[in-house]
Order: sequence, then C-alpha cells, then structure tokens
Amino acid sequence: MISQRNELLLNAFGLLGISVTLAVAFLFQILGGELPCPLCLLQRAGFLLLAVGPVLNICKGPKSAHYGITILAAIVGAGFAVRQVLLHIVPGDGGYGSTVMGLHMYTWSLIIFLGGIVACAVMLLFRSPENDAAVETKATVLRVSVIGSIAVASVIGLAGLNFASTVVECGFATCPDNPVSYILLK
Amino acid sequence: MYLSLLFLMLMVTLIWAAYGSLRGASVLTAATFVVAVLVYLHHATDTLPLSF
Repeated sequence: MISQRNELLLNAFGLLGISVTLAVAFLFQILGGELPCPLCLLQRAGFLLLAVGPVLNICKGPKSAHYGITILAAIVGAGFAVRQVLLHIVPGDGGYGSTVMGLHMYTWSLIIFLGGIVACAVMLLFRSPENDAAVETKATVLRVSVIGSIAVASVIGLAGLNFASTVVECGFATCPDNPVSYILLK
Repeated sequence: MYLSLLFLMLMVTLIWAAYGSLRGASVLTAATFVVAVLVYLHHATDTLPLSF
C-alpha cells in the first residue's frame, strides 16, 4: 500500500511532469516560433485541467474524488488530442508542427493523457484507504512539502504564461485555425 | 478570446484549488470543464477526412 507521504510525493512528481510538458510546448512556441493552433491550445488547457486533481491532493489532502477529477480531465484532454490526430491521420498529410522523437506533439499529448488515466487507476488500486482518514486529522494534511509547493507554483505560473501568450496571439477575437503571427504584435 | 478566457479560468481554478475552499474549487473546476468542452465544440467544425 502507498502511504500518504508517498502518495503526496507521487502527486508532486506528476504535477512536475505536467509542468515540464507545458514548458516544452512553450519553448517550442517561443524559441521555435511555432504558434499553437486552437486545438493545440485546448490540449494545453487539458493539461492544466489534469493538474487540478494533483493540486487538490497536495494542498487539501489526498482523496479518491480528486483522482476522479484527474481521470475526467484526462478523458477530455485525450478527446482534444484524438481529434487532432484524426485530422492528420490520412496518408500524405504531413501533420501540424514539428515532431519530437518522431511523433507530433498532439500524438504525445494523447499518450500522456492516456498515461494519466493509467497512473490514476494504479494509484487508486494501491493507495491506502486510510490515507483519506489521515487527512481529516489535519496532522499531515496541510503540511505541503517543498517539492509539492514548487510543483503547484510552477503549474500556476505556466497557466498564467499561457493566458498571457494566448491574449497576445489571438487578441480579443477567435483564434485563427492556422496562426502565423501574434495578433497583438502586428 | 474564448481560449484566453479558458486559460484565465484555469489559472483562477488552480489558485483556488491551492489556497481557497474545496467547495469553491469544485464549482470552478466544474465550470472550467464545461467551458473547455464548449470552446472545443466552437473550434471543432472541420469535417474529419474519415469514414467508419
């Protein structure tokens, strides 16, 4: 069985994984000049939705319901990614954007969202049922570890960066399907 | 604009999940799910080149 301490640590690592994924996408945008399309932005939003469950687990104490939120977010995010995969699945279609280790970013997104579902299922299988009850005692509940604080701060920071970036890219209109420049920087 | 609003909602939801009440975070999370799906439906208008 996974203890509450280890459960919180695993949630912090999961949150850091989400932060790294978002940071890599952001680096491709800033350094590579690849402007994200609306579906790409929706997948980033899916990753931030995926982060809500781990943030609740770290800051409010672990609960099975929080894993339910994460699974729902992963299903929604996978739906966004599947649509983009299917848009470019026809032979001869070069896909959208550059590739990472041979796969497009939306394919990686799909893999990560599915991995999130598997991770939640494994956690629900092996976490101790007493972890919820331990939270109620408040002894360990709100004692957020350093790594947990860093993980939470990084994902909130990346949400802010994505908000600012989307405002600059799309302005106050609907984001174009194939963006070529930042609307507010024209 | 809708995507910017979605990211703003996500940022507020995450901050609330970290520092606010659980009830408020739950309401914000549910609202963000709904907005995310609505934004998706707004943008997913192209016909997929597939037949099943």
